[in-house]
Amino acid sequence: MAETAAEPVLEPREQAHDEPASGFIRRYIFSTDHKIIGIQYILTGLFMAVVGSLLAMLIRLQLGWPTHQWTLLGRLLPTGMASGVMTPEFYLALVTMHGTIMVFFFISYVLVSGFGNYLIPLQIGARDMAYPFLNMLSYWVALLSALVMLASFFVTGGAAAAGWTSYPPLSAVSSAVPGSAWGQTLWLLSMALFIASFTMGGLNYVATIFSLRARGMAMMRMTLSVWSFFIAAIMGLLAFPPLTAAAVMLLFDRHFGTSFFLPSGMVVAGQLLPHQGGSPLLWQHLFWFLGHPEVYVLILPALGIACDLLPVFTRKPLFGYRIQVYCLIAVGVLGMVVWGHHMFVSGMSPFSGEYFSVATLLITVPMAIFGANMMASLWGGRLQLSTPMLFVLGVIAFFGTGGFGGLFLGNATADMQLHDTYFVVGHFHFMIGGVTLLGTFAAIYFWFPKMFGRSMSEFWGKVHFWLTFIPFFTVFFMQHFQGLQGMPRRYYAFTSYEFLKPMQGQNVIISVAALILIAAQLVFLANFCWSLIKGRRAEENPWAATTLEWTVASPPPHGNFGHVLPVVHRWPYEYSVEGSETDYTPQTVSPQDVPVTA
Amino acid sequence: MTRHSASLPWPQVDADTRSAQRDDVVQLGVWMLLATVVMLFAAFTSAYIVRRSASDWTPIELPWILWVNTAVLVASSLALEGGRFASRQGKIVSARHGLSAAAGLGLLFLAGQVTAWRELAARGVYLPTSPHSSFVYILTGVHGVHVAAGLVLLIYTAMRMWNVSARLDREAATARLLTASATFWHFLAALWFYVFVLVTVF
Repeated sequence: MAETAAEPVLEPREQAHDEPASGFIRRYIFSTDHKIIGIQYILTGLFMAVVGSLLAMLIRLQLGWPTHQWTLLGRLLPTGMASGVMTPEFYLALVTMHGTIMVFFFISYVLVSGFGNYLIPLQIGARDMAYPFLNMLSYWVALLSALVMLASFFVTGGAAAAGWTSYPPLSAVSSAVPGSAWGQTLWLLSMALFIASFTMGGLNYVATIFSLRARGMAMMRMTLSVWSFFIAAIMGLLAFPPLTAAAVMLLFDRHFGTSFFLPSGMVVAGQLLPHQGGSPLLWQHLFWFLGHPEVYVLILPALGIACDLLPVFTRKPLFGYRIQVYCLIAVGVLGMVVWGHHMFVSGMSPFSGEYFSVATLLITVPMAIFGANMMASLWGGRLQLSTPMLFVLGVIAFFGTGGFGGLFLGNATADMQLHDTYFVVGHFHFMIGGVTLLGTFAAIYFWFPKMFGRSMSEFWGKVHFWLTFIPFFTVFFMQHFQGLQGMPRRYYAFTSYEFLKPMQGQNVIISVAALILIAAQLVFLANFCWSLIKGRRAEENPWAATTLEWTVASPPPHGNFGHVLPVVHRWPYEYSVEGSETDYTPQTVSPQDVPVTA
Repeated sequence: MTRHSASLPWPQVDADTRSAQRDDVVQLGVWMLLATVVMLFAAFTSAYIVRRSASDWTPIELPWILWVNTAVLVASSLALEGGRFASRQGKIVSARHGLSAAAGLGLLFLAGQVTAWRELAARGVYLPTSPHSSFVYILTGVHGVHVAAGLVLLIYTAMRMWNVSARLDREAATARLLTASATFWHFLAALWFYVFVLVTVF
């Protein structure tokens, strides 16, 4: 069938779309274009990742060589590392801020907000998000939230030091630890801003996916990336507001004398506190009601993106698309009701513990199916080991390894033993650390040509992969075994305890691997910056992929699709269809030309 | 390679249908926003229930003006509905009056809530006095913040109604805004019922 000239047919869901705003500021700074907002989120998130990595570096220097005098660092950090040796208070602030920044300001910004904004309209065939102005507002509130969090390093007492979970009483009593002075207040304000920003973004995701899909883009023809953003957004919308309530109550406990979370008879620094009757456990419930869905908000998009990339680099359809969608939904539902598994040792009723155990272990069913389908997608494919594909394979490896540890932690009986040990640290770094990190890198390498019209270096990408994958695996695989040996998390030094002394050698190995891992990210940053300016020009569809974003120019123009919105005729994984001249069939190809398989 | 199949005989869609679709998108957003507010107050409720069971719970006497405020908020919702009814009938002047009355009563409600706080404070009942008083202050406060936001929306809509020009697209946008702010405003009235019952009865 000959290429037909585009007639100006009015599309049903065509919104009135403004001409691109003129002027640098309106176009690139205060832009309402979802692509610019997505890139703004990604760049902000990458900056926060650099900060978070530097904190990790300090943590590992302390754990590897606890008594060493780092003269240069002592000069750079006169309060936290006066005379070159870290203070315990500073160490607590470091682990708190490392966790907070990586979870909320790196992975969340780059993967969920960044790629979510960039990909959703392009992959469903819309010109922009449903509420472009709200979208812009979401980014600027997010930036403010990040700045408030960074500012907390510079206030009296330094940054928050009660852990990324901010459990009271430590977080509620200003005199408990230096970071609980102003640092904790800024932490709470920053989180409230983060939740407000995410709410604006999440409303956009759900409304856009519900309302602005191109003609023919049935829900069951959406990519798994879009599905995962959709589920993640719904989870975030429902699970995040309760922490706002908790943050309000904690702020009132801290500054206005209420007793929501502070029990009677608390003595801090020899002084009896006037609070009475509050429940620290209440905070734990409210926090984990956000905290647990949050890990799915982060990991589902990484898994969705991995599923989208698999067919591109195996040249065959994804295995079990429908089942993957149902698994995402099942995980989304179950993920909302298992928060208690973070609190097995909090003295909860054994009946609650049993429920939370069973519900948690139920999640392994859809997740195991999901992982098995990813591996089945590899079967019989023509594997092309490009950089994005290497990272996707890394995602599968980490997902399997880390998920296996989850079986032990989800079970209350085993968790009693493992709680607050490095087993937990290893587990969650594989999952919301590793799966999401590798998923983020896969996404960046894969969509970089679309975003900037240039390709990243394959060679340095592969170097980056191996220098990330091997040290990461070393660090967090070993930490599982440290946990099994009883090494507790959050301790500032392991030299003061007889039973932990033999583990110092392992800590040195882990620290060396962690430093290699962090240094390797310089390869990525250099490749990223270099490719922005000097990278090879990318054509429209460099990976020979099928989804809608690859049918438009790189980078896509304002409004994404020119005069007429695309019409979708098939699912997103149409590879190696019999009767097609090419081994891929874009979603816009009509059924008269190539048979539709799904 | 790219085929947009634009020549397929899809039915053409006119501006009215597109405007109606935009109505749906905006209403969807409003309802999702309401869901997040529901979750916020669900969290406060669960905290209330947990805290209620502690031995130091001493109920405080609530100011009677809260009953007046409740009536004011109901009146505000009714005025808004009156305004919307008039606007559907094309009576733009009555619609403007209804909206302005709703916004005025909304302001009165906020003033009444502040009066209730002052009355509590005058009686020596402060935030930390008892867990019940903490919840009363915080729940009315958080609800009040939402009312203030709804009020901004309502006043903006009323101003738009005052400036409705001859341009059709502008009027469709105003009607959309009116529906959205009315949904949010009635929700806030219902939410106030809930909060009031929670702190009074439970």
